[in-house]
Amino acid sequence: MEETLLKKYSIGRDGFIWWIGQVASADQWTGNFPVGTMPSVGELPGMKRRVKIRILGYHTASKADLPDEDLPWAFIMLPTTAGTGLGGMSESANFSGGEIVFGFFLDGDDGQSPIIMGVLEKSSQQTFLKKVPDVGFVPFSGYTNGATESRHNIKVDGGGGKSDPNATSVTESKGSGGQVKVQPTIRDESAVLEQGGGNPGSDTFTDGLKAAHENAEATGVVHSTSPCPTDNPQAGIQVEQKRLQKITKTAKKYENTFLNPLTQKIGDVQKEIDRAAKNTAGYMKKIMNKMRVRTLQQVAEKSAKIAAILPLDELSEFRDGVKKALDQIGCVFGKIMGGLKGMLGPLLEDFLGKSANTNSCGVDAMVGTVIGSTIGALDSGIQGALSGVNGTLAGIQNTVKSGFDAAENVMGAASNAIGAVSDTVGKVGNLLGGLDGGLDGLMGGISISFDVGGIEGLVSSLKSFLSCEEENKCPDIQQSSFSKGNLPAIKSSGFGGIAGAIMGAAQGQMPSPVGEIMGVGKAFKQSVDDVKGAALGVVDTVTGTIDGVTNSIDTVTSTFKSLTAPVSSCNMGPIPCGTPTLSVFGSGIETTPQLNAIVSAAGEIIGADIIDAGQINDGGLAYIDVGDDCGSGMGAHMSTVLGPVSQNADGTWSYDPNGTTIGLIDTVVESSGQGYLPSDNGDVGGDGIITANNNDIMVIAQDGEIFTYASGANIEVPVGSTVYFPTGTENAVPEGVDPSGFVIGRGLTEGSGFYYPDGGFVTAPDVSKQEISDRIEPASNTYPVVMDLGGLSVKQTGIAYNPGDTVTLSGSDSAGNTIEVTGDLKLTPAGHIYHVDIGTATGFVNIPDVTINSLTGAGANLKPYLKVRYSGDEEVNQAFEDGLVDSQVISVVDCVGKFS
Amino acid sequence: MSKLNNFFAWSKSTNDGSISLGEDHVDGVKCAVYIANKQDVRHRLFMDIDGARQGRTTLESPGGITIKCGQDKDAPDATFVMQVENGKMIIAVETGDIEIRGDNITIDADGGEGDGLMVLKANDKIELQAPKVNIKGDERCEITSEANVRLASQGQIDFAASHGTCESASSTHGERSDNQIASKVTEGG
Repeated sequence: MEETLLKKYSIGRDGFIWWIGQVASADQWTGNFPVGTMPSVGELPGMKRRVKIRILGYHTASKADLPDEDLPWAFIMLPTTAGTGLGGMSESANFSGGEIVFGFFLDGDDGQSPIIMGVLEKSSQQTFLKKVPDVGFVPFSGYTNGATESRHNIKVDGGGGKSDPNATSVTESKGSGGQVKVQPTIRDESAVLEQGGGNPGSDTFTDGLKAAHENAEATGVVHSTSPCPTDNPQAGIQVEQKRLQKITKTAKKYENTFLNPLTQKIGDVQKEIDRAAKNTAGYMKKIMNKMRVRTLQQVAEKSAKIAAILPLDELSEFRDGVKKALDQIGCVFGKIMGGLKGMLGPLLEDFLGKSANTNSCGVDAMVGTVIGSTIGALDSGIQGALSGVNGTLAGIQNTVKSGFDAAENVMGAASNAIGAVSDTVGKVGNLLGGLDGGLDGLMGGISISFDVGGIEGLVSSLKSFLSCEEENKCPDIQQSSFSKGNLPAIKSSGFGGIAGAIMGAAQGQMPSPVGEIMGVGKAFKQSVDDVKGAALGVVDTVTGTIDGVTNSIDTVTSTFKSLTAPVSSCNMGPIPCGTPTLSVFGSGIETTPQLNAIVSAAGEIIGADIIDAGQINDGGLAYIDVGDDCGSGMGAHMSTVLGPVSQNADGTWSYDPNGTTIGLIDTVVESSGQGYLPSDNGDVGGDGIITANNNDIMVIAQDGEIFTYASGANIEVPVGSTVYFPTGTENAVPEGVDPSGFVIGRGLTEGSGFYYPDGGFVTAPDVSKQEISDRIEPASNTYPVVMDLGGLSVKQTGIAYNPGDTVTLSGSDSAGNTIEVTGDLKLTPAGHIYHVDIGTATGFVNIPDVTINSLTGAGANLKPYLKVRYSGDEEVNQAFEDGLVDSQVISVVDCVGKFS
Repeated sequence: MSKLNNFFAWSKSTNDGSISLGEDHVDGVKCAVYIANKQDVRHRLFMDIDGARQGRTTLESPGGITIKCGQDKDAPDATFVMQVENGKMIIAVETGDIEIRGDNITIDADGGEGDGLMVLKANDKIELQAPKVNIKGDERCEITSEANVRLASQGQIDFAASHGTCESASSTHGERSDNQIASKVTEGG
């Protein structure tokens, strides 16, 4: 009573009673928001922006004693910047239920009119608890309205799970080389709730964001077209292959973590296969068009020679025949081109699980093998197209043979027509060497006919012209990527590889993969011959010819569905994930600079060792692409500094202030990126994806299909498979396993794995990635460097700096010893920084921080860059004698053969 | 890569969408603005500050993009302008076609100093269809084929030159169609 008498019942005069509470689950208060438009304000169900609140110290935690629906309503206080709805200015409150909030009572300690003033941010340690707890004040996720949880806010946390020993093994293989069986996994990972917006740290990026990035990386490479008439179709095919490989791997990587992979369509593999087949067929069409042109040229040349010696009154019929033949040949090629997509689809699908590292060798092998497989159909089609003309020529031959005089006249006319200086038949024959069959026919009664040489002749001819194409290659095709912008061009591999793949007889003269292809080609030839016979059997009309080709292609498609053998020597399996590679590209580059990336222990790129400064035309541009085969690292970006260079005795170029040639003299790390490997850690992969982590077990089945399993997985290995264990794994040789292939360590990096001729059972060892990394010996191609401060690159000049302002760079060596150096700013009259005079300092193992010491200036952006001071054992050892310490030395992997 | 971005980033988010200022990408590149459809991680617009995409605006939109404009403009107005200051404009349709339609279409390769090249390439066929087709090469005009070239007219065809040359290994000329009077018209030469 006393208290009641003291109360003033006036807001603000009865004390400020504040509290902490929890917003009740959304289903208790969303009824305030009408489902649809209400006819009038008076019919609104509530006041919209109010929520039910359970307040600590005022309300019990027991929902049995105090159900949520009986909790008081709380108004929500918004900041002055939010607007109220008046004047059209407003901002929504942002509650989902479960929030811990802070507020006060309008009615003082009566505690009946709570106002929410603010909200306490969710702890990043809070896990995803979708179910609303039965007890109050216990955290839950707020996903209680039935909406699909956004992958921006959900990530999976945990080890990925272990095999369930009580479960029946399931088959994973889709290939023909055997069936890998693995026990289903009991997942020990769980969904974790992340912040709503800006990511608080890269270690907490959600799978959704990662998948979006990788998906964009996989699909975001575009290569521009070229005005050149003979551009580089293999480059286009390589882009298609890489995309297919990468998107397939990305889809697999995230298949268990996407909430709705179907509707979000990341990883619609079948659609990607169709797309790749269609686009690859388009590029192959360009290659086959070269063959069409060559064939038409041959027929046209021969027809000209034959026409030159034919009786004049036969020319019209012959001309019509040749015209039809040319049309038919064009049509034959068109039919085969039209069948390419159908051939490529099954090939690509079969190939998907078997390649981890797309390269030009594999592309050449695929293109050559596919074209080689159509040779029979091509030949039969061409022969069919020419059969009509040959029939005409046979009739003409009979006419000619009816009288020697006529033949003599023919030969005389032929000699005149081609300007031959001799009237002897023999010399005419020599002059018309390409028409030997025709002339022999006239002379000796052998039938006059076109003959492009059958399969062997056609193949030989193709090899010949494809080899010539290599000499006339066009400029490399430029690319751009979603994440990086400019990319280096895909270098033309010429047509030599394709020619080799087509040309069986060239075995031994071509790169090793060709030998494999030859084997396939020979094995395939019999079926092609059969096809050819079938096609020729129906060739008597134009329609018949084309039908024959169509049937041939159908047969080819149905019998040729695997690229495994052709590409087995192209090393398209996983490769060790090593340090990043630096590729210089641009315009006006005469000699490409060669660089080794220098990576800090923290996985950031801190500089480059310029092995060869290269030679760049005046006005040329040079960019650096930071490549990472497995996509372990990302985000690094480097720019180039060009300057005078001169040539060394060994042919390389290096900085020379008196040089008269331009080259690359410095590199600036604009963004150091993250996650790059300073050295091999045992992971393997390619195409920007890690195929197997260093602690995974990898099985390559007999048909080439690749499977990987995390630690603890129990696997039934199919017959004829090779198993690769993590480096350093002690593993007894199972019975029946070839001990000669046994090595301790990941066989792949050692050159061989464990071959299981009769299959068997293995368990992936339970070992961490770090443990495996620690077991990896340094690669033999590493060398030590010590870095100096190279200077400061002025990226933005800023304004209003004053004379006397300085800049301080602060970094450290690997022992944490501070390395600091201060420089003077060079300013324009307006206070812009245009240069920094700074001394050097040695031993940085990371990019130093920059502090500009100025009371007035603002807006400058200065990028420090490091240069190699000492390089190689000899120089570094000498430097030790001069006071250098171990903690200043960085190990660099030699990717460009500095010490080879 | 900026190291202090994350803590100072700002975002407004619901379960369906978000807008963030100063957020980092997965690859560590700092982003000035990031607008996201949170129900489809690919659907987003972002403006990057540093890294390889410095100054670049990227729009990814799985469901397509519609730009409609100009309802209040007139025919001669520059209603929709895409201006590239330097570099190339690449329009690449990975799977599908490109259609351009308008009352009049002009493509002008107006580069100097060795530029001024316009190339049309196709994997199968290029067709020009119009009531009137003019092909004019101020210096040279060539029509070539590895196989057949056909110049045909249902009406009159004229060849005119100040000097003409016709070369062939052999030639025939003058051939009447079936509905004309049959007679031998083929002559050699």
